[in-house]
This record gives sequence, C-alpha cells and structure tokens, in this order.
Amino acid sequence: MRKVSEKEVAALYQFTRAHYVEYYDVQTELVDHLANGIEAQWTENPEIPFEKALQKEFKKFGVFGFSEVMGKRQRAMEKKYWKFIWKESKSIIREPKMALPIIFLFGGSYFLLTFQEGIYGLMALVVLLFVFSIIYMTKKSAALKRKKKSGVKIYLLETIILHSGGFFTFMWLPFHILNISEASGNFYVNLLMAFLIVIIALTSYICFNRLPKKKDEILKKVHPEMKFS
Amino acid sequence: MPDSNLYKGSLTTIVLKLLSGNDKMYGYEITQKVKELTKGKLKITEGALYPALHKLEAEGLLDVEVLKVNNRLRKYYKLTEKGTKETASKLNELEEFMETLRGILNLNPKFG
Repeated sequence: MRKVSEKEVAALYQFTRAHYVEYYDVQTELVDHLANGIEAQWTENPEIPFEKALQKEFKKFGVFGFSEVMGKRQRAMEKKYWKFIWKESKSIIREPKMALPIIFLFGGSYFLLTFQEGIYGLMALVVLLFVFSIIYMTKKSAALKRKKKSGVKIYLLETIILHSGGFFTFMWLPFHILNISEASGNFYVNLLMAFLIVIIALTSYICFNRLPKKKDEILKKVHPEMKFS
Repeated sequence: MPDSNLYKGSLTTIVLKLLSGNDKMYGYEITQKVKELTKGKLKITEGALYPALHKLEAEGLLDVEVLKVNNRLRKYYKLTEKGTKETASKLNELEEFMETLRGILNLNPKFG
C-alpha cells in the first residue's frame, strides 16, 4: 500500500502552517490525520496525486478549515493553564515562608482602605503591575517571534504561559467590584477588596514567576511529542 | 443519512464509550470506527472530533501518548481513572434521556 513519505509529511506540516496553525502540537495531530486520510484514498486508488488527495481531506474540515480546531484547542489549553494556576496556588499557601507576605499584604491593603485616599494608593500599585505585565508580555512575544523565525517548534501552552493566559485583564477586578458596590469604606467591602488584592498579587506571582520558571517541566508533561524533537 | 444534529449532544459520550472499549485510540481511528459501527450512518466530522478530544483532555478525562508510526508522530488518547468514571455516568445519562424520549414519543408502551 502506498504510504505518505517523509517529504510529504514535511509538506503536510508546511500546509498546516500555511493555514494558520502555528503550534507544533496542533500541527502534529492534523498532519497525522491528513496523512491517514490520504493513505485511505490511496488504498482505493494509488494513482491519486498527493496534492489532490490532500485537498480532498482538507475539505472535510469544513469551510472554516482548521480555525475551529485551533480556536477550541486554545480554549482547552487556557483551561489547562488555569488549572496549573489553581494547583500552584494551593501549593503556595501551604508554604510557611509565604504566610507572612500574604498576611502583611492583606493587613496592609485593609489598612490603606480605611483611609479615604487609600484606594488611590492601591490603584497606583495595580497600574504599576499592569505596566509591568505589558512590558513583560511584549518582551516574551518578541522572544517567541524570534524563536519561531529561527525554526524552533512552538507549543500552544508555551505561548499561553509566556502570555500569562491573558491574566492582566483580570487585574482590575477588585476596582470593578468597588465601582459596582459603590460602598467604599464599608467594613465588609474593604475586607473583600483586601482579599481580592491578595488573590491578584498571588496570581501575578504565579503567572509571571512560578509558571514561566516551570515551563519546560509543564510542557514535557503535557506534550509527550517533545521527546521526539 | 439521519440528521447529524441529533447526534451532536452525544459526541462526547460516543468518544468516551469507544475509548472505554479500547486501550488507546487516535483521532482518525475514532472517525473510522464510528463509521464502521454505524455502517456509515454517522460520520463524525474532523471539525467536531478534535475540539471534543481536546476538551476532554483539558478536563482530565483523557490522557495522551505520542508514538512514532511510520515516519510521523501519532497522538493516542486513553481514558484516565476520572474518565472511566465519567463514561459510566455519561452512559447512564444517555440511557435515561433515551428512555424519556421513548416515553414522549410513545415509543415505549410501559412509560406512563
């Protein structure tokens, strides 16, 4: 039976890249699927040219091509990323050395909120964090682009880790809640705000420090195909 | 061929059930197995299968294994322990649904 050759496998990778599938993990799965379909066509008729068989298989993905698979894969991986954050959060709060900074941050935030202008101080800190995250992501994006240009394989989860899963958009959550509640100065609202600020600080620490440091370990666990690279 | 919309809500259960009867399967194999079992009446589209597999993987119901087959890499899916439990629960749900449907459509004289 006619099989897809090594050269044709390379052409299939190129085909997925040309159809906006940037990530090696997604490409690999699609390449195998297309190759299986092409080989099935060759079982019926080995004379069908590779390119014609490929177009027939690609059509089966519908009018949107690979974009539906890509979009849903992105969402699934983001979900996985947030699971890693959750797991890391649980491990951090069990670390004795983290107890003091967490208590200090919670107490400090609550203390600041008891002052009328305290909220502006906290907002300034979040603005600083926001600016830092933008600079961080710009740098990481540039590094990823360079990596891609040099031909190194990029994984979807790797991109999500380096882009911090879009976490920077959640940084303003405590202030939105304050806006909605219109109850600044209220004991319970201040407690909730201090709690949310601790959550934001903890998540930032995980997104910008802990997970990027563990990136290779995480990728190896999620992507068994890495051992073949 | 029957309306494929009728099967849409059951795709996850179909995939889980197939995997429960096999040690591990890859995407293309799943599409072909469904085609074979339903004698071509049900065709799982590629655009629906992979998102479903990726979702189940992200939920921790499936584990993945990659092997080199011929001259390319092949990603296999297999049920995790959580996935095995979920399969049983999904199958029960589906059976209950079919029973209710039979009752509504008066296909089952025992119902009501």
